[in-house]
Amino acid sequence: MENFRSLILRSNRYLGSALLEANYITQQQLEEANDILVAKLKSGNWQDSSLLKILLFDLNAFQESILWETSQNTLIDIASYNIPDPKALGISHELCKSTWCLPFGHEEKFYFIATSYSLCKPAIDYWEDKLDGKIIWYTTPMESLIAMLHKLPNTLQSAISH
Amino acid sequence: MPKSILILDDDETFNTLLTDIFAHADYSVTSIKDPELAIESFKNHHYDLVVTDQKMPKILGIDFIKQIKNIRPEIPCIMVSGYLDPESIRQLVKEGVGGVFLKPLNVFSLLDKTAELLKSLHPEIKKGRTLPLPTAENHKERHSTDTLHPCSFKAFPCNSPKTNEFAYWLYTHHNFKTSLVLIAPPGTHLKEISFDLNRFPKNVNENFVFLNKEDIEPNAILKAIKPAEHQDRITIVTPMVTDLSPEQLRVLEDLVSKKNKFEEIKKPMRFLFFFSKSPDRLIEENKIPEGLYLFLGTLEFTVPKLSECPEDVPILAQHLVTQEAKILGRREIPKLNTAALTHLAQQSWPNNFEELKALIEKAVKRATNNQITEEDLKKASESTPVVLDLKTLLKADRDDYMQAVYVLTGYDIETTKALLRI
Repeated sequence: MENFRSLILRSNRYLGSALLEANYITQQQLEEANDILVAKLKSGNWQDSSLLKILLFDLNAFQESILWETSQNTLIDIASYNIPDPKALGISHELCKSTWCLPFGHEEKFYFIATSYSLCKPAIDYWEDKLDGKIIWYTTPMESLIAMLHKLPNTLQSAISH
Repeated sequence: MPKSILILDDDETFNTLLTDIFAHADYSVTSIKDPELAIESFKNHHYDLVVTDQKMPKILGIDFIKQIKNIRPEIPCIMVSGYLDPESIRQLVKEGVGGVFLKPLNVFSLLDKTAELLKSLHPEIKKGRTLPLPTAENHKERHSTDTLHPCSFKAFPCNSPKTNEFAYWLYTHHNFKTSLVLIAPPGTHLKEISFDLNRFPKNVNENFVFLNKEDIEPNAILKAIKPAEHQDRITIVTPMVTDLSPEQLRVLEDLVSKKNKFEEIKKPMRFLFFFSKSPDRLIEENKIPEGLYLFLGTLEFTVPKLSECPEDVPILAQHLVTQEAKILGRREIPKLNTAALTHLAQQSWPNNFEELKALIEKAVKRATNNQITEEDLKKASESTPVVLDLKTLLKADRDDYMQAVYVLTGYDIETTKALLRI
């Protein structure tokens, strides 16, 4: 069974470092966001376990548009798509929620995946490995991704507890 | 006769500055702004060292160096540049550049490096050629000059690609902001590695605080940190994190986030963490607190095993022989003969440095003459530990204490003497 707890922590650790390295956030902001994240995890709130979400919306540490401008992926607003249930594509809801990535289409063996975590190597690598690299990546605003992921059943907590 | 230096820099101001620096240091300087003329001049004249800029309109400095190395590979080269990322620096070093300096220049470092490279200039040292194993005759000189390494690194002689890569990684990251993770195989000499990190030049006043396993307890940590609080920054070196109890891990988690008893720490802190395996594996196994894991950042490197750097083993071994002989108060330092050195280089060393150190200590204690042979080493490895008398043990402790004071005073010999009243 996939270790979602470890995946969430690794994804957030590497994302935090990547944002720091790119000078989008300060060390102090990262530490503050890590503290909030750890408090959420300790209270069992894995559903909401995104360092990026904390940095953008709780701490207003930086503007997300920097990520869109520097991304090499096409920018889409996932909220305006009709998203099939990831399970129909053989993808678990927990994986989508752990990595902040959401598949929204599948054509000719290629999966179309939207994410706000494109700077996060462990998340990207995990998907690339799982789907044998047959992915076309899209960058999407975090707010839209949160809304879409919240529509999926909240099974992450129980998947982690077990 | 003064050593001659060829300077290539298309920027007139900087070329003049470099020329003045080297001329004032009594070098014979030829400064050229055109790379083609510089190569022509290098072909027709004798130079002991070449200094070049990286970014020039006609040619990149690295390509100029490649041409120079094709003509006379033994001539050391120094690169000066406005900006270079760590990867480019590594690449330059791979290409045989002996020193890399970023602008604005630290003149003293540049001249120190120049002197060091000129001193180490030896016909047998050529790019891409593995240096021969040290013989009983040349090992002392080799260790003391630290070969061609541009920074002082003592934990490993850096004669093998693995240790060279490690030393450069550590050097290029020595100004890390908050956290550096070293994954070290069992028996690694953690303190020596952290001493090297402490020796690298830094631009802030800081104290290194080495925490032992038994120090990972709030009061002991605060006590260890207190003398360092007048500094601008505290660098904390942890013991092997993987050896700590769950309670100690929680203390470390509190320390990194300045929580609970550590709230009173006002100075900025940064941490050098040692792990025996990747933190990613540990978080997967649920063996490390989440807050500590997230704090680690991603500056992470694996310390080479001794078996991955056989070229280093003989030099390290002879260094340990010297160290042990001094502790024992031997008048003459025994020498490992060539067969013994080769034997050491061929071992697998599952317990790494500590295993080598233990063997050498036994061999030196048993040595009856001034040569240690392969046979002596084999006997020492089979023997039970030699029991030392109290005087010898006290002397060993005294030496360790003196060394610790020397390190804590920032390698200031005068302060060390004053503190120890010697």
